[in-house]
Amino acid sequence: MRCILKLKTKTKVNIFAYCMIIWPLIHWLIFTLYMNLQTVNYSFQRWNQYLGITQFVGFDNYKDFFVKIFNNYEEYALAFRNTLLFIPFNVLVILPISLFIAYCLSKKIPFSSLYETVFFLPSIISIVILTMTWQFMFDPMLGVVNGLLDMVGLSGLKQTWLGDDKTALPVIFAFCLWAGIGWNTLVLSGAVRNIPKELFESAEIDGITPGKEFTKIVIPTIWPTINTLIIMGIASAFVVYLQPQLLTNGQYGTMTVALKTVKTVLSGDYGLASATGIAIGVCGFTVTYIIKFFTDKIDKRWS
Amino acid sequence: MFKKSIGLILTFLILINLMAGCRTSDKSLSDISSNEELSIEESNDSNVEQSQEYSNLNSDSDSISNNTSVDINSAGSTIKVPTTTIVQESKLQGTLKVSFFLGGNGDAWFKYLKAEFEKQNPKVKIILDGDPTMNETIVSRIEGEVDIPDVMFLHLESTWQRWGAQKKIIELSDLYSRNVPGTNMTLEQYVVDSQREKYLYTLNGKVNKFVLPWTDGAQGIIYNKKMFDQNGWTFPDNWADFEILCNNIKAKGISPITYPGLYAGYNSAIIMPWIAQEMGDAKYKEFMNPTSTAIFSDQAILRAWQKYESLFKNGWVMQGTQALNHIQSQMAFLNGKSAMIINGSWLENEMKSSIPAGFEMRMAPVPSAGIVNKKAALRGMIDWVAIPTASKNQELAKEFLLFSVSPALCNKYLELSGTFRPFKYDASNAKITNFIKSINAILTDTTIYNCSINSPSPLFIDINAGNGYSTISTGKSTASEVFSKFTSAAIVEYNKRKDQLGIK
Repeated sequence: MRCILKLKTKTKVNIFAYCMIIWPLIHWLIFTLYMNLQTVNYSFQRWNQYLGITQFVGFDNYKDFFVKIFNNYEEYALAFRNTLLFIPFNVLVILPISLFIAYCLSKKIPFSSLYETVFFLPSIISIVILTMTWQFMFDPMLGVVNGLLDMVGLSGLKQTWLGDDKTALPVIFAFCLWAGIGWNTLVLSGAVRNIPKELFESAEIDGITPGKEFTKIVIPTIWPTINTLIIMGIASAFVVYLQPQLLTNGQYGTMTVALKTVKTVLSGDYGLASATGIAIGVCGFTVTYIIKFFTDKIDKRWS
Repeated sequence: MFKKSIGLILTFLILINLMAGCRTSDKSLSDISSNEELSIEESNDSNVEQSQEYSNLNSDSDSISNNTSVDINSAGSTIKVPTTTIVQESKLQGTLKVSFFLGGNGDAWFKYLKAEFEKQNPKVKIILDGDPTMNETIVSRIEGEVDIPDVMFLHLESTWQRWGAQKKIIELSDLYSRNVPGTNMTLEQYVVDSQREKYLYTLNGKVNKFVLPWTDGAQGIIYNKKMFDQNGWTFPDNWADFEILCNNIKAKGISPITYPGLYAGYNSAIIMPWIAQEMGDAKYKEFMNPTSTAIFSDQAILRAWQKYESLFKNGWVMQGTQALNHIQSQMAFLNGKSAMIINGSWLENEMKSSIPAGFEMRMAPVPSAGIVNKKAALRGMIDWVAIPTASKNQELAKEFLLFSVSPALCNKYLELSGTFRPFKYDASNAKITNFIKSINAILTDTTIYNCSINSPSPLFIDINAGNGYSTISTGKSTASEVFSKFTSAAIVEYNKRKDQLGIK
């Protein structure tokens, strides 16, 4: 103890800093690095579930995965397509809508804090409850959606929403939109609120229109936040699985690669599941990095 | 200096972790076990709670057990050894941990069984460990060899085939050759005929008996008895009449059939009997226990899928069924929106709180058709009982298992849970509902062809391998497309499993 007290202040600060980072570091080493290395390790092995033996099979699991994608065995190609569809959906649909809502809320319209809460509510309720509500909403006989269509005289548009290849995926997208904008709106409205008032005021003196204000002031000023949300949106597209699992059990053309991985694990084929995870992880990393390259360029221009 | 040494320690830590990551599965096992140690402590706590709970219940169970002698007599069977003598003679001692899946059948029977067995064997203590998540948690317990129970009652499909091959559970041949108390049959004779084959696990020509069946039941077509009576409909015996019936129901403005569309596997209750009827007995046995890939391209499978397709083409399936989960479709049936539902013997118990007053339902087998030309029903459940190899009380566990299958205890199970056990006992005197009685009629009727839900072989390929249930239901695929998809997928899977099993 005494020797520590004798140390120089700088050394003391260093010790303190190392003590503080050691816990997150150990956490990262075990739960991120170790787990991922283990997955890489598994992806080169095949576990013989009947004999309980693990065999090294090289790239066989990866080969299996790509063969399945190219031949659409067990709906793998479909799952891959759906996963890729979530990228433009997250970035080009959810994000602009949340941005627009965040901008409107920043205009201090009446009840704006109430709206903020309403939009954020889906983010704090369990997804199991939410999907159950949606299942009942879209119930073909008792559901409120078909009921409303009946009421306004559009009975012809009634659908078996979650039980049809044409409508099941759009309903899942609608669910993700409804449940997803709350979080983005919260982050973005925080950013919009941090824009200095003077900027708006001086622009107002120059006679700016609300549309110009949105594109010329709001978006460039909060671009770093948008950039982060784009990256997060892309990354999260690769892990979507609970929504299709709970709404349609992955049927009717709603399978995603992440859900396929979960189902593969449950069937006991750990090797293929790990290879799928690694392959899709690499794919996600590449896509994310390419897009980040371009968004960073925009970032540099505006900052 | 300090900075350097701390830096060195951190680098060392990273290196160790890197090396740990490169280790093989042994490491992951020990990892699991270290995690499990925590959970053992927790489960020990819960055991304490449970045993307190059970001690509170003891007074109740005593009163139940006093009544049993009456029940046993009324069931027309006798337990070999009267309670009083066994108290002095029983040499069994030890503690048995009985882990069981706490599902819809509840734990009342287990409490009763515990009280009975402890009464007959005062030196034995039974710890009941029932949990709704048992089917998931038990996998890491058995594969990681921690917190091993002595007996386990699980609802885990074919996992036992894997564990049997891996020697995680013990072989029960000696138990199968013993006499069942209260009967003059050996356990092997005592298992119902239709289910016996399932438990004779054949691998490389060697027959193994790893598990005991837990429950028995039937899946088939359940119809609204009241609606049928009011309209003067009767459930038909053959397929042609069934088609007429469906058209009649449709003409009344009611949907004939519904099923849980999101979990289309329920449809195996009709598709498997159809395949059996179309294939005939010998081929169906080959289908359930395949020895070559030839059976996967049998035209009977196509005909069964065509029949399935016809349900949709004729408009007999309730509109929107595809989107319903099990509860939604069962509610539609209970509300009279559909006259029949494809479901299992658990339906009444599952929907207990939602059944409208005066609602009556009955189960019927699939109407006769095909080469077999008999009515058929999908029989059996996917649950089983086994003794882990790592258990230290295997002999006591076997005694316990043998005790638990006696006719009196099977009848008690039926009364307490509404579910049958797959043994030859007389259930005619048990206090059960009319719906359960209709299932008993299916189970005991020898003119009905029984298709087992389980295959004795790990080479059996699920009929839904071509994803037929849902793609036909939406009109996305035709029966012949699904058939060719199934055939190619089944051949690939068959060869893969054969490789894994090391069968040439």
